[in-house]
Amino acid sequence: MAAVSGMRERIRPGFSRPRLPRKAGFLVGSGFIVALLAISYFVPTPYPPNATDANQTFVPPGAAHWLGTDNIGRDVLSRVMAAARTDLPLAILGTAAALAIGIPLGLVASTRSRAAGLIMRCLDMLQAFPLLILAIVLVALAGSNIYNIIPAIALIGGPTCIRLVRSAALSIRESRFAEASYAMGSTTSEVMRRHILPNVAPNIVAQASLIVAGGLIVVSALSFLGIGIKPPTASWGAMLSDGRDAALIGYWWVAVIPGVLIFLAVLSFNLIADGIEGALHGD
Amino acid sequence: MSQQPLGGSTIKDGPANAQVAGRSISLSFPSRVSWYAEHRQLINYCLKRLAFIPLGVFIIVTVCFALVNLVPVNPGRQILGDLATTEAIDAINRRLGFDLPISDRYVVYMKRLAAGDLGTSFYTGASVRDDIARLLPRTLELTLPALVLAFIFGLFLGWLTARTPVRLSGRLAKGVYTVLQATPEYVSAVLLILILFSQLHWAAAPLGRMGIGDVPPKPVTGFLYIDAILGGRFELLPIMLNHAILPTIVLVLGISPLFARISRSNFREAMSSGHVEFARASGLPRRQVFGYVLRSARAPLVTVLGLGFAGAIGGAAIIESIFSWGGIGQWAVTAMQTLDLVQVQGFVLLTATTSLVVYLLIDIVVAALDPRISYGRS
Amino acid sequence: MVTDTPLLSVSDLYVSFPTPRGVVHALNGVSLEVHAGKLVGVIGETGCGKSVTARSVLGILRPPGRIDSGSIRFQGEELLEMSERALAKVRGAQIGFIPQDPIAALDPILRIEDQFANVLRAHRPISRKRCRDLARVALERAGIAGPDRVLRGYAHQLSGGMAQRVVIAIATILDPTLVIADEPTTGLDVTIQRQILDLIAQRFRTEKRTLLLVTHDLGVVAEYCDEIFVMYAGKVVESGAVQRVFGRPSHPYTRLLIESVELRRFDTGEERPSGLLDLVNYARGCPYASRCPLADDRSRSEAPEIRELDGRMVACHHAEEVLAGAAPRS
Repeated sequence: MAAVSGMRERIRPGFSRPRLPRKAGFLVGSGFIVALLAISYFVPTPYPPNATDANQTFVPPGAAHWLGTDNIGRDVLSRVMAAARTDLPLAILGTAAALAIGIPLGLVASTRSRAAGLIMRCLDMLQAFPLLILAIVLVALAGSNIYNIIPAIALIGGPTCIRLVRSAALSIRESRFAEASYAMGSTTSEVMRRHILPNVAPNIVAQASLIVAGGLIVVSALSFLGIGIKPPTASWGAMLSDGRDAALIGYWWVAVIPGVLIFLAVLSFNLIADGIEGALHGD
Repeated sequence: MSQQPLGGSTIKDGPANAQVAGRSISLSFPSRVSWYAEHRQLINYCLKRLAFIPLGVFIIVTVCFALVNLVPVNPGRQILGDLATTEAIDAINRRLGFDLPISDRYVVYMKRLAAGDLGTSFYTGASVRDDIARLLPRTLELTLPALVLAFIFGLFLGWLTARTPVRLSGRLAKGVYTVLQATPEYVSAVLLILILFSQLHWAAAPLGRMGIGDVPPKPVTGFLYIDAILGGRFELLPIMLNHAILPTIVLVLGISPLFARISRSNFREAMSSGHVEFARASGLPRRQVFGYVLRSARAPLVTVLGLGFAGAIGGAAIIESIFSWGGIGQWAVTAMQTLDLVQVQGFVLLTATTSLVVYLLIDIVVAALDPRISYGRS
Repeated sequence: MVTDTPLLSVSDLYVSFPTPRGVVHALNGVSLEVHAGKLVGVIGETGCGKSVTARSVLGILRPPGRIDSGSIRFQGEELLEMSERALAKVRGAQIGFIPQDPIAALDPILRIEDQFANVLRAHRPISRKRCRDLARVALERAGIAGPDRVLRGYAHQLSGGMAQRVVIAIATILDPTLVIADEPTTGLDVTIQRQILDLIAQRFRTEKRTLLLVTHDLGVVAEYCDEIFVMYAGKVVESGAVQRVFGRPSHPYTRLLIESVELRRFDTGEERPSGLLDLVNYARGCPYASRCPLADDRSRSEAPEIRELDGRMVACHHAEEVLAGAAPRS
């Protein structure tokens, strides 16, 4: 299917066309997240996020309220910024927990020990359960402390992390240079530290970004359903849910703004992961 | 052995030459080898996997129990809130059987399960098993068509991205995929309701399967579509389909990225594989080459489709809730919100067991499709 | 030299691969001619473009490869102007292909007889039963005893040598005039290699079929081929009858190849150590200049044109010198 495209300049400096969208996506994604974090943590909200005002309900986006107000007069922009301070740290901490469990377990699972077999069996069994439901159930049962969401995210992100670390570690463990290293007398843990981890690290970072995205979806789903994160704590999912009824009557900004933010945040983390993978594999 | 050249004369001249050394050709392979012997490997594989089911079910059942009973929780306080009296809380805990030690609770639980009793709802007293039997078909009426449509759409997207990643169609498909993958279902649900219902008035209100004034058909099978037909209530069908459009679209948009991703990577791999290249080099038309690509990818595609089936029950729970679909998913969400532990337990049990069985079926089908597993080395 | 119209004529072919790390210029003006009935070899080291050339003829370049310019004429028709559909008719029926890895070339999920049938029925309306008969004969001619079992079986049940015989059978079953073989024996056991090559050479000579054999194995070319094209860095550097080119090479690279296989030393200087072929930063001048002991300023600034010398074609500023020093001195 190659077409003859006529004579063209054959001596040309390397033009990396396929790489461009990946790199752009990575920059846009990380830029957005950094900006989001910076704004939500360092920029004061125009109004107190939980301050209600019965006279100012459903004000459309305008000069006084840049993103409008909701059904009880709270400023949407302020709430959205405050929600970022709730949702993002939860997702990130949950991911950290997933990594803290996943990396060591994944490394162990790549050995030939009995522990490895046990871990993989457990993972297989875990696969039978609908993990999102499981997470929701756990959080619902464990009560209103929002930090309970963290182990829930770890539960969802952990298995993927373990599998990834295990397969990467396996491929390196069985590679030639690991063989050579063993032959020169290194111990298992030395090989792990010096060879396996550095080579696996970029994959883990990409995967971590994906877990954060997933964690964000879980956090928002939970707050959407009213589980775990209770009002009046601001959370994008809760705002979305509040806005749902308003949307039916035509007040679109109450739901659209948090919805768009969830989308943008998840997209950013996806793009970051994509960019890292792209750099690793050269498309 | 025939000395005649295999060249043009054999093919161009027609029937005269279909002879080798004067013998007429017939299928000489001995078909007396029994089907069982030929498929020995496959049968062994199936049996091995089937043997795992009892253990798997046992583990699931135990984990379900642990889930609800080991989480450090006081269901009584949870349900009644912090302001309730100690007696009320204790009363509830007694009703739920939480005053018994764990081992006793476990025994009671296992005994009930063996008898097929999944417990009764704490709030409504309705049998969990009955609820499931009644509501499960309604969920399937939503998720199964959505799954099929998502599969087709996802495959199409994946094929576009794999075939021409640089041209417009490929890039567009990749863009659609990226956007869809970043949009959680509840977000797209709310946005679509806003746009298609509130603003444009194209779609029906997200208030259930039929209009508010419509009378549902007599429940026979539990599948509303079938019940409507059986009851002669044909006028309900367009109404129900109308109400199904939005939730189905939301589900399709949510599920298809997975299919797109799997199909894209497998198509790409297949397109640059040796046998597809050889097929092209042998002059097979493009359509047939695509058939080769599709066939190469069929194992992972079947697997992921199966995974979709496994998740068909629980995966649409939030959507059902948003659209008041009235299926088992909505029932489960309400149970989780109100902490009806028995119902929650029943739901997890249902989804986990279904997944187990479906995974087994997937494994068997994939093994049967792959001659390397079902035939092994000759 | 008598020149009848060549069966296949590649002229000035330029092929490039845009990759994330830069554009790889795989072919930089490749020209070659294959005459009917000959067994022609294309030889060179990894990356020289011999496989790319073969695949360009068939139009099965691996993406992201693209043909930038040039001409490929087969039996008088310009292949590069053909639509994909027309090209598909030529493939298999008039130009056959024998790839490198035979087991990978066969579909793991289809029975062998179905793979024959698909190829046959793509070109002619033949019943499946007839296809099986034709396939049986083809397998026997490829040296497989007990073809029925093979036909009912799958690719993974075959050894490498048997698989290659099956592939050869499929490649020749429609009686193509030209067959392109891309390293058909690399990866097979040495004894099997010989059998396969003997099979190909013997059958092709009997059936008067033309072969374009791509390989890096000098010995194979020396033994089985009539003519040879030596490639380096995407260009043909020397070509001609095998005895002439190998007996008295006129290009430093050809000389190097011969030296590395036979224990012959030629007299004109040591080769300088080389790095990997860099097909991205493609400098002007002779592509071999960086390795060539005879390289001078002219080599580095001016690319040598291919010209006739002593009954063969060569692209080298110093060809006469190489030729003179090529008298074997043990």
